[in-house]
Amino acid sequence: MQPNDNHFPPELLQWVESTPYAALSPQQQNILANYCTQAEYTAMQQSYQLLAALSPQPQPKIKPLHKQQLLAQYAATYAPKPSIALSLWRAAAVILFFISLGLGYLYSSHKSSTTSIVKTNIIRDTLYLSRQIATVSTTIHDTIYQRVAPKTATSNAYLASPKAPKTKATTTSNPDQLHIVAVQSINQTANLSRHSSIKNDKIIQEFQFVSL
Amino acid sequence: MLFAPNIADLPDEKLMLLLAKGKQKAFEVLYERYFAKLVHFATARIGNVAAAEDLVQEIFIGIIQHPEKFDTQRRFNTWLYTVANNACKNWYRNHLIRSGIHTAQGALLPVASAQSSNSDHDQQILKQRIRDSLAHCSEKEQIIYTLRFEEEKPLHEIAEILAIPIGSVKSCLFYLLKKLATPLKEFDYATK
Repeated sequence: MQPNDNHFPPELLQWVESTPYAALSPQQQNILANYCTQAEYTAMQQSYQLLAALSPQPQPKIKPLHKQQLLAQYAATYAPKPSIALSLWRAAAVILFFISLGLGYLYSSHKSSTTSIVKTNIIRDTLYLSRQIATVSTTIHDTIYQRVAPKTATSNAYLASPKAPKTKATTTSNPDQLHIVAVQSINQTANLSRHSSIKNDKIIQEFQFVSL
Repeated sequence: MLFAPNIADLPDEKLMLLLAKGKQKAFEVLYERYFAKLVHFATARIGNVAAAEDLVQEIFIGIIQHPEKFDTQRRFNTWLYTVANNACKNWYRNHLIRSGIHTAQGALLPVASAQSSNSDHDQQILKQRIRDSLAHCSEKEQIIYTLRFEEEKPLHEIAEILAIPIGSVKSCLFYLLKKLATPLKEFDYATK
């Protein structure tokens, strides 16, 4: 039965390999006594020397087939593949060529593609305008209410102002500037169709004269 | 590169870098250095030379296909033996599942090499005695024996390959020597 390896003195093996029992100190012999007797120690020493002096086992002859198979395996694993590398370069060159062609095409057709977009916008604008017209035609009939700011009451002082009649007099006080429409000219029908004739004027119709 | 070092003189780790870059010569050098050793190690583990060769070939195919799995912080030698040790464990587990065989020892025993010379009869008897004695040892002791006395690995590398503390390796080796002392004692006197 072997004791625990953790408590095994590592120097014991070194003693067995190199030191005769008589050369051990009493203290070393005491340590050794826990693991083997003197006779066992001596026999172990002889066994060790016997095994150490034993001629090494002759190496087995290996069939050359093994080496050939392994070299073939190595060659298959690490053989260079120039054809694949060359085709890779070719593929890369072709891809670059097509990319440059595509970029050139995009650059050259940039203007025309912009024009076509504008045309599309114009068509859309036209459709938008026709809808707007329809909307306007409907809103013609709507009534628009416009708020007017309330008039402030005028003071009586304005009515009593002496300048007001004076201003009116400057425009109408000159009798030479009066334009009296003759009665016979009322019958002129040039503006009758547009209802803007002077004949339509209510004052003329009532008093047969008017002063402008 | 007038003064470029010979590729065969480069350390394993440099060769792995070159291998990953497609240098077939680097792979050939690694193959020459380790294929036979690993077959020997695997044969000692699984007890079948043909199966060991196939196993090691699978390991090398894995190196070819996935060289990035090598941890550049580790030594290639140790890493490779760790991979081989794990592959042997997997092979043994699958072998047990397929055949339904289960032994108390947990590992198959190393077999005598068919290519070994018969010139030294005493050595053959000694090796057979060792194999017989190892048959009664644990799997860990058998691996440590193979790595220490047949592959001549230093203790710290054995610890790294098996992913155990170096104190455990020393302890295991000490008790392995104790187990082998009695059956080899008689032979020891005969070989003197």
